[in-house]
Amino acid sequence: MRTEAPQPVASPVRILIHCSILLVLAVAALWAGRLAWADHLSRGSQVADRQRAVRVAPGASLYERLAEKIEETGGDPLPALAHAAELDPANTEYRMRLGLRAEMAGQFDVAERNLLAAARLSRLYQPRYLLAQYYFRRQNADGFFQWAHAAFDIAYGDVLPLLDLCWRMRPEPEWLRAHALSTRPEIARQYLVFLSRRRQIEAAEVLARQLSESAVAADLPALLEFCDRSLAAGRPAHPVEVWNRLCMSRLLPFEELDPATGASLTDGSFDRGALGQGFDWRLNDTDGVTSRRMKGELRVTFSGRQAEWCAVAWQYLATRPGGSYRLRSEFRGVDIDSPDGLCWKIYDLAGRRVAAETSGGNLTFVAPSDVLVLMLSYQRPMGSPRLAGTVAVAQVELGIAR
Amino acid sequence: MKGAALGLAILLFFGTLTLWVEERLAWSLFQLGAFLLAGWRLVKMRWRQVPVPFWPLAAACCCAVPASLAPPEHGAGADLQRGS
Repeated sequence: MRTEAPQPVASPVRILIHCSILLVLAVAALWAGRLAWADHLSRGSQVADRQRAVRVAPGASLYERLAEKIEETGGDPLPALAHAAELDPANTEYRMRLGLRAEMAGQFDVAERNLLAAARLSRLYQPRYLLAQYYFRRQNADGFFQWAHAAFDIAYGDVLPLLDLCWRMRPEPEWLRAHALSTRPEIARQYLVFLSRRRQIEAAEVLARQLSESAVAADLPALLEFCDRSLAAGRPAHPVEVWNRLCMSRLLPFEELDPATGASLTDGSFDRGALGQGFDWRLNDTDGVTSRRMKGELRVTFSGRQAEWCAVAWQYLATRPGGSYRLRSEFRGVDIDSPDGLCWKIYDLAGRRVAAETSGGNLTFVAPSDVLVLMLSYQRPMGSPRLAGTVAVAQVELGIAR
Repeated sequence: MKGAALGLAILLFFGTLTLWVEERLAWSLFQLGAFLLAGWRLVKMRWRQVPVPFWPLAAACCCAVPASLAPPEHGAGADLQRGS
């Protein structure tokens, strides 16, 4: 025999609970609709719509959109941004924007307060960088260096703009390094590049030497750029030292250089990877001329339509001033009988020719300075057509002439 | 029960399909749907019992605890967003 389960009685307490829940649901539904309407208004193209939106639901993001529109129409967005920052005090984005706008409006106390608040709230680079910029514009050196240092402590990526501000505030490389910069290797690398580009070679030399003592692969681009710029400035001593350290630590696959004993040539057998920086070969692929390293040779292909004179490859030579040197090499035509017009030349950094080859790949010269340029070039011989075909250059050797 | 399940499934599909919509309208419609479904289910029970079984209700309450801690944390300036 089946019996019906007793139905629960609808007590007044239960009815009250249910009604309360229904009321909460209704209010929540109303609120959701209100937010949707405010959001729709805040995306309108008129300032009035956006003002209505913040009246319907005063939210930080809605005030931000209102500020954007006011800014677009040339008005003053400061009050709207201030409301946004007030409604969402932990949002650094609003603080930064408010700070920048306040500075533009000449309200420096508001600007400083908000930028400081943003820098306190956030552990990212941007607020600190903005604050450093603010103090730079106000020419407040103490504030600038305090926040520049804080920015360097956490910086990632490119800090050259901040380094530039530091330099403009106080162009003293050693002081900056000791007081403004962080000790992080990432910053030291970028500082080395910065100094090299600024032609502060003496300061760069000190930093490059320190970096090269414990260099890792990440240091290579900065150290090689230092070598390039220092060599171009005619100061080969430190680039040689840095280059040799990189070779010793196997970060570069070349033999060490020693200008005093005539070891000034890098990769005469063309069997290493093409670096194209420092003391390595730079290959000049120009119209009608292409070069590539292949099986211990440099293969240069001339189309026959190249210029009458063109540089094919070159490298810096660190030499002993007054030293007498002899260069030897082999030229071999791959698909031509004789590689006429291909020759070695030596230039100084001012571009003056020091020596030029006169016979089959051999050249003797006296070094007038401690850095020279060895260049393989093509010059159409008088009365001959332009060279067309491939030439192999191999076994380039440089030594002291006896 | 079948009608409520179907309604919830439609609502979830709608929510998934409109995830990419930037405007608040889509999210508000989803919220509205959830509230209406809950209200409808409540009315359908005709004041007899709370229409949610005990364990799901307990799980929902547990989930609500961290959310309810946010306002006081925020007020104290110690919320998790500060590091960003």
